[in-house]
Amino acid sequence: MGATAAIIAMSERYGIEGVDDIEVYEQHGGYEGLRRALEMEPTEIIEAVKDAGVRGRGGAGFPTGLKWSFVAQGTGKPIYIVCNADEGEPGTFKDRPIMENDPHQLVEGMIVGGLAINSVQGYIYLRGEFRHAGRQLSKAIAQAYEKGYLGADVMGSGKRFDLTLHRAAGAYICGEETALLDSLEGKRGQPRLRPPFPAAKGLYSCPTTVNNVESIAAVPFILRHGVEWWTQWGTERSTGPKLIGVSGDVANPGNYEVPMGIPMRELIEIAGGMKEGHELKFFCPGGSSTPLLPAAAIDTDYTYEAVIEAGSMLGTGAVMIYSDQRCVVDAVLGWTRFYEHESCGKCTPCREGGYWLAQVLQRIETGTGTMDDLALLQDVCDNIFGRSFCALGDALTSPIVAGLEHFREEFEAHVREGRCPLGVTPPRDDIPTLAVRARDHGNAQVPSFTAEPAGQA
Amino acid sequence: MPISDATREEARHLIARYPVARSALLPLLHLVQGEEGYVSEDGIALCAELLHLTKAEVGAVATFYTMYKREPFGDYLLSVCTNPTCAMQGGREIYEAYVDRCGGHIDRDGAGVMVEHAECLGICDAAPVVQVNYEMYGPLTTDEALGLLDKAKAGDPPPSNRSGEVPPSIRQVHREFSGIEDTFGDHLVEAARLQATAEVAPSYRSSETDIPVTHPGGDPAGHGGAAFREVAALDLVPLLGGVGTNGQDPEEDVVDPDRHTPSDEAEAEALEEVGERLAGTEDELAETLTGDRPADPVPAAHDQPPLDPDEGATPAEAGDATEED
Repeated sequence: MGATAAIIAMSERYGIEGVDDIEVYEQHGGYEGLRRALEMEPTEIIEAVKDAGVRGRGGAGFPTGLKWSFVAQGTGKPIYIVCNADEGEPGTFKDRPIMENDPHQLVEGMIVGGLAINSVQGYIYLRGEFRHAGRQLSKAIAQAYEKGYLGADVMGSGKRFDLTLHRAAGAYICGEETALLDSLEGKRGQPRLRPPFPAAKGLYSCPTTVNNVESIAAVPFILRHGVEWWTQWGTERSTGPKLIGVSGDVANPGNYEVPMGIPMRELIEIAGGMKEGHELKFFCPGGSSTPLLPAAAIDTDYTYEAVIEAGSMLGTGAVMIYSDQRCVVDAVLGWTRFYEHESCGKCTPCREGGYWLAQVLQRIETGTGTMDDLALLQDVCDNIFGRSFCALGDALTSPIVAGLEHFREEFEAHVREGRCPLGVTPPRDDIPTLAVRARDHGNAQVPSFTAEPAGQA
Repeated sequence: MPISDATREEARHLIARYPVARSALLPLLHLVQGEEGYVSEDGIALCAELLHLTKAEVGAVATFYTMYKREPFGDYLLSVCTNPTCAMQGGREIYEAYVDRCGGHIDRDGAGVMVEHAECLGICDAAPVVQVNYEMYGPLTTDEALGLLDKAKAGDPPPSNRSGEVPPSIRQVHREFSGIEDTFGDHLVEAARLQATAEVAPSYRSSETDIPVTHPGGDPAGHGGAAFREVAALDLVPLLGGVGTNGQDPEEDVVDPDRHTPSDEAEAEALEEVGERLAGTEDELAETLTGDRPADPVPAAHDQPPLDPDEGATPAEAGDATEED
């Protein structure tokens, strides 16, 4: 299942039979990027990545070359390159297909990345649940050792590079780079206080870079085809091809490759358009951590800068499409429960806030909320955003704040009608609505801003 | 059930693959779950013993990660994605039907299954998705999903419609996750040995989040005053004339104010540009550029516990020993 795409760049080998085998991979340009890299100085590799303008594909969009140039050199400590393959952002499926379809692409990228920052050891921190990807990578690394691409003497260059496949054990927070490093050190995956940053003190207190699978896999392509090949796509600030996952209410959800910079409406068209009988209502441009956007924003260009301008972020390339048949409160509740479940518990705003926000959303969705709850949601979110230890806390507030911003009317309708207007979740009968409770308490005064629920009382 | 000697040996090999022993904890937990089908008290005790940690420390890690199960359930784990994209396509109904049919989350009839709800499994084009022992199945109707459950209970799950693989038992799967079956382990042992004996070896202590420990493998510098001094050093060190931490070169303790300024003009521009667009990044970059912060601790030889207490081997020797096998 390849990316049947608007373009074919990094997915060029997806459809090739047996390309997970090293010999087939070599026949299709495999390890040519590494060969080039061995002819270059480390700084030249970094310059090439900088010139191409590769921005981190894991969500933050931080320039990869710049990140590599920060890695402390000459400290006498080993330098580590760690691949963040803990793909878990809701809606994201673009790294796993790389590892399953073309695992050598990542192995080669790791070696090249290692050369660029003078690292002798790489770790691929793989999401535990990705068993098939783990199998593919294990085979690929073993073959790369046999062929001398890995080990004491990389392709006869006299340089050493080793690569460990480290399978994780199920924790979304380990996608946060410092939590990942703690996890890789055998601890609970909780984020670290920064500074020091991993570039100075990362894994085992040594200089470390942590990069996303897609960012690392891109580098051999750039060395092999040249910087111009990469920059033929995209805009000045958002270059290159991008692997994306389009999911939800589209006709053909799937993994596609697109040039940066196309209007997001085209992403839906690439996925076969909206599902029959569905109309676009809202979408997330890059996973649940990126604020959802209303249908009106669909003509925004797919670039880091334009999506930020529109009030969201490019995130992980997880384009989730929701139609008019979907309840926004239900979706927001689902994501909030996700963050509640995945909060590492280290800091209070996120640990406690996630729990309470889910409770409040639950009561709105099931028709027992009040208008006050809307202000409460906003207030709790304001107290989490910017006040939690890592980005998970901020992400937790994204769907809620954006939901309230763009679909306040729908939240209010839940409260007014005492049920989900779309009928997605049946109203609870175990907790009576406000009006019923008021009646049971001798017709106590129901706050005037809370309308009488329809069909109750 | 005590863990077998063979597993103990394999655990030692896994430990030797890392320059700092504790890194092997997640693989070790997979390994012991691979032997017993869950992480038992014995499994935790083995990890603690081999890594020179307390059982509480190992338990804290084992309970943090969802893939480690704390009770036996049988051969098959069914994980149903209930994240919004799957939920809206029917994932919630599947999950409820599973719990209903199993009369809870564990059904020990037949091969034995555990049912759990999972967060996004990263295959949203196949929504709704169910994993059986971490093989993907989807999209499924509720009926198809129930059929899958029945087959798993009968010990005969079909091949995944995504990878084409038939999921083996949960024991085999976790054994695989430990990495012990990766055929390039010996290379990693040698690599770890070289790193552990580097000019400045990797160290155990690396962050403020460490749990204070007082036994081998821990940080003898402590986490109270020493850690505090380290934080204070950021701003106060020039003032204090470079308070040494952990006996490190005092020169490195002094935070040079000039180092806040990126030397390279182009890089400074890039920083600014990125900083404009990414909240908080500017600080991050500036801090990164200030380079090392003082405080580094323990030579790795302390970190890597001897593989055999009797031999008292250093990590280097330990590495060699394993390699000869």
